[in-house]
Parts: sequence; C-alpha cells; structure tokens
Amino acid sequence: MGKLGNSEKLNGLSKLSRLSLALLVTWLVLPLIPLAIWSVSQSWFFPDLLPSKYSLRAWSYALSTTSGVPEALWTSTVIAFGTTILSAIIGIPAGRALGLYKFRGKALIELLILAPMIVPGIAVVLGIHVIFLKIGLANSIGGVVIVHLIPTLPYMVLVMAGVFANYNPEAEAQARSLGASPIAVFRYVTLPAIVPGLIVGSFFAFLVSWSQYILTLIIGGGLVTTLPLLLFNFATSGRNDITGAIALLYILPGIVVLLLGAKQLSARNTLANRANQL
Amino acid sequence: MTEIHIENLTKQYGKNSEPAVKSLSLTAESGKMTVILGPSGCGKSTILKTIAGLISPNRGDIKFDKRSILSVRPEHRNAVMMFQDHLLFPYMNVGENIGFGLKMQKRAKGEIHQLVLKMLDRVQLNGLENRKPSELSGGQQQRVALARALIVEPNVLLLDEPLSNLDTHLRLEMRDLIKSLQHEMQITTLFVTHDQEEAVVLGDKLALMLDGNLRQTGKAEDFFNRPGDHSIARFFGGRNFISGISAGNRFTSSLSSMHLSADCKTGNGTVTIRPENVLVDAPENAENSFLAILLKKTYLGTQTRLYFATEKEKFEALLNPEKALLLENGQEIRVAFPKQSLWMLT
Repeated sequence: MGKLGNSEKLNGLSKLSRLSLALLVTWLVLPLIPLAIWSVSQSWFFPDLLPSKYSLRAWSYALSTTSGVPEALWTSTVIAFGTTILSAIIGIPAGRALGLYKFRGKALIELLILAPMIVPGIAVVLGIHVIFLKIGLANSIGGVVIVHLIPTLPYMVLVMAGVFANYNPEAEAQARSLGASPIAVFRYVTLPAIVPGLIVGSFFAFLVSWSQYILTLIIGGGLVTTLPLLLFNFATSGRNDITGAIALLYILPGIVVLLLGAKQLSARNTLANRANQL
Repeated sequence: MTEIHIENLTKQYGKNSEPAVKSLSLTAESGKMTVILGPSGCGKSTILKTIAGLISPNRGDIKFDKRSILSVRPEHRNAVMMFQDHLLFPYMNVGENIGFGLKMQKRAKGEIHQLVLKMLDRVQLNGLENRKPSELSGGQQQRVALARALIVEPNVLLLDEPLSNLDTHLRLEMRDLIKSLQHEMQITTLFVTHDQEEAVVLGDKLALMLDGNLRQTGKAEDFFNRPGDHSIARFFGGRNFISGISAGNRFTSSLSSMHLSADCKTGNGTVTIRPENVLVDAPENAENSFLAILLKKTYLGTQTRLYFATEKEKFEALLNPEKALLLENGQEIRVAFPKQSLWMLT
C-alpha cells in the first residue's frame, strides 16, 4: 500500500516540483560518481572520460590496518556515539525547559544556544584549547567529545524544544498519582512521547559530530585521528584513488541515516494523518 | 477508609501574586463524596493537587486519618487524581492504561489482566481492552480514565472537573456512574466542579469556594435555604434581597411588615427568599402578603420567571408556565412571602 501511495503521490507532483526533485538528486548523486570511479581506477589521466585501467588496490589498502582507516573509523564512531548520547542527556532537559516553560531571559538563552550555528567554531576553539591543555582534556577522545557538543547541541536542543512544545506534562502528574516513581514516569510516559524527536535529534548530532574537522584537529592535537582528518591527509597528498575509497566510507553513515530517517519521518506522517482523520 | 483533614492550607504561586488558596480548612469524611464548588480559577484544583502531592503548599497541613502526608511522595500517597482531560497514555491500549497503576505496584501479569477485565465490566466497556485511546469516543475515554483510577482501590479519589468536557447526555451518564461506583467502593472522594447542579446531585457534603476562601460547608439544602451571606445566596440562584429593620420575629421593610419563623437580632438587616418559594396570586388574607406590579415574564421551559416591582423594591418569582399565562404584564398582583421561606442573612 505504501508503494502504491508513493507512486500516486509522485504522479500528483507538478512540473516544477519534478524539476526541483531532479535537480536535487543530481546535486546529491553526481559528485559521488567520480569518487566511486576513482576508488576503483588504476590509471586515469586528463583527457580520458573514464580510467584506462581498473583495480581494487585502493580499497584493499584503505581497508588494511596500515592505512589507519579501520582505526579512524572506530575512533570516529566512538566519538560520534559519545557526543550523541551526551547531547541527548543535555538536550532533553534543556529542550523541555525551552518548550514547556516561560521564564525570564528565555529569548537570550535561545540565542546563545543557536550561537554555535552562527559563530564559526575556529573562533572559540583556540581559547578552549588553552583551557583544555591546562585541565588535561586536550589530545584526548574525551576532550574531542566535549568540544563536539558545541555544534551538536543546537540541533538536539531545538528538536527537543519542538517536541516538548506539543507535550502535555499533566500526563506525568497523572502517572505519579497512579503510583509511578519519577523513573517509571520517564520510562512509560515521557520517553514514548519524545522518542520520534529524540531519534531525529540523535541523527543530526551523530552526523554533525561525524563531519567535524577543525574542532577535532585542534583539540585532538593530531593524536585523535578521526576519518575526516585521515581523508584530508590523503586528499592533500594527491592519492585520488585512496581518497575516493575513504570518502565513500565516510559518507556511509550519512546514507544510512538518510534511509532510516526517511522511514522515521514517513512513519510520523502516517501517524499525523491518522490523527487528522479522527 | 480514609478521612482527609485539610488544615489552614495556603498556596501562593508567585511571590507577588494573590494566594490561590487562603488558609483553608476542610474535612472530607471517610467513604463520602465531598464536592468543592466554585467558579473557574478560584483555587479548587490547587487543593486537589496539594492532596495528590503534585504541588506543595506554602503553609498548612494535610492529614489522612490524622497523619500528616506532606512528606509522603505522591506515588506513595495512594491518592489518585482524575483530570478534566482524560490524559490516557496514547501509546498503551485500553487494558494497559487501566492496568497501569497495578503494573506500578509490580503485581503479576495474570492478576492484572483479571482485575482489568473486571474493571472494564464495571465501567461497561467490555471487549474494548485492545483498542487504542484514540479509537474511543470522548465518553469512553473518560470511563477508561475512571477505571484506571479506581482499579488501584485508592484511599482517596480526587476528581478535577471530570465531566466538563463531555456532552450533556454523556455527562449525566458519567455522573451517575461515578456516584454509584464511589458509593459501592466507599472511597473517600473529593470532587471539584463549577457546576452547581452537579455538586448538588453528587455531594454528600458541599463546600463553596470563592476567591481562594471556603465560604460555607454543609448539605446542599443548607446552601439553598440557609445561605451564609449575600454572595453565597447569589451563587445558588438567589435573586431577592430585601433590606429593612428586624426586631424579634418581625421584619419591617418598604414592602410590608412581615413575620419571620424565628427571632432575630434587632437592627438593620437583609432577608432573602428563593424565587420558587414566592407565592404568586396569594389570597387576600395571606400572611406576609402585599401588592406588586408584574413587569415582565420570561419563559424558561419548565418554569416562567416573573419580574415584580413595588414602589421601592424589585424581586423575582418562579411560577408554573400554565399559571403564568393567566397573568398580564402591568397587572397588580397579590404576592406573599411565606414566613418559613424567609431567611435572614447575617
């Protein structure tokens, strides 16, 4: 039924939206094609449209331990997961405060939370580096996770604030008077209501952390090597075949999240439709 | 069986705002339904929430059977609140919603299932166990909420305008269901409403609250026939307030010199009589009778409201519509205030 519904929807699109859809797909997919070709090419010189020789040696190198890619992949994953979990722990209560309550200075706090989206990271990270050096957080994964919170928190907090703006906290009062402890209230009442938003916010946080370069470079001090750092090294050294292979590995979580996220979002839509029918 | 004592309860939300509840004392008798009646925003819900433990009072004490419960956490008070909005958990089906309180008590699954089925039968929702709350009608949702509250057999049931969101016929049905289940289970219940009729039908005892203050408590009849003051009388539909001078069992006003049923303090005072107790078209020799001019008639369906005037006073009477048809606007009519219906306000 879902497929039928989708094709019906597609047929219903206007010419303009078909055009913009085509443009969007082109912009997203086209740049990936040369990367893919590079990763399997052995020799590819200027006037040729396609490589003259193909091989998988870039892939076998990229996946070997000598390249450092598997280790960087692991480091990136640990940091991105850590950042996402911390973002959620901070973002849920912060989003609740912003979404549910009115208080003095709320507009100012919203602006401060948005600030990292406006102010470039490099402007603040140098100062943070000095402090992190003093307290021993520099050059460590922990330090990198903390500094990654700067760009990820705005997404998490804003998504959660949106979720809590449509949330009725009296349901929690109801659960407590029925004998639920605060932990049980969170588990049975709050969490089910915020899970869709929490997933979307976590996707954002994971991807934003995954793609950090400058913050990782400065706070990690070259000792914490994530995938983007490694990718940059190979890109500047002119090894296009290896760069292509790593770049494809690098965008993998993005594609996974896109697919999962689309499912999540469409599930929300059908829920909303059902609610509208009532 | 739990008796609730509220002692000098005061709750102020902001530092500079008027207290929502001012030094209020009230007793809710064990196994009885006490109705707190008052206009919207008079602080009624605040009382229930402090009893449930959802907010804490600034001053005063709340006791269940003479033991203060202020330090007891809400989930351990066994005082279940039911709100105006049904607040069913949308991710659970009807059965899971009703069984929620038992699940929190960590009862066995089979036992919960048995009790849920029994409760569904009691609120006449057999077979709806697996429905989602969104698939129910408003009346059914509210009955699920009632079942969810009653299944834990609470010591205290706190009902915060649970009927206000329902259509008239559903409201009456639900009202009777609440009354019969409360009576059957003998749960000490506090019911909050702004609807005077609801209060009168449901309450074993009524407490009238105006502006955060408790103004009068007692049986429903007391509020109609022996109101404490002018504003209480008005809240219960009193329209006739006649000022004059009282001495012994006589009351002298511009209308006439009237007999009272009991002796009163000597001095200036106000008497009141309910519109439905005014005797219209009274015989010539009736006690406390006088002539008045009929200004206007308003047909109310089951009764007709008559507006009378004399030289100095105005008052109203309620009459059977058929009898009212025989009266003409502008006509001079003999009216009597029977002495047993006259009530001296203090």
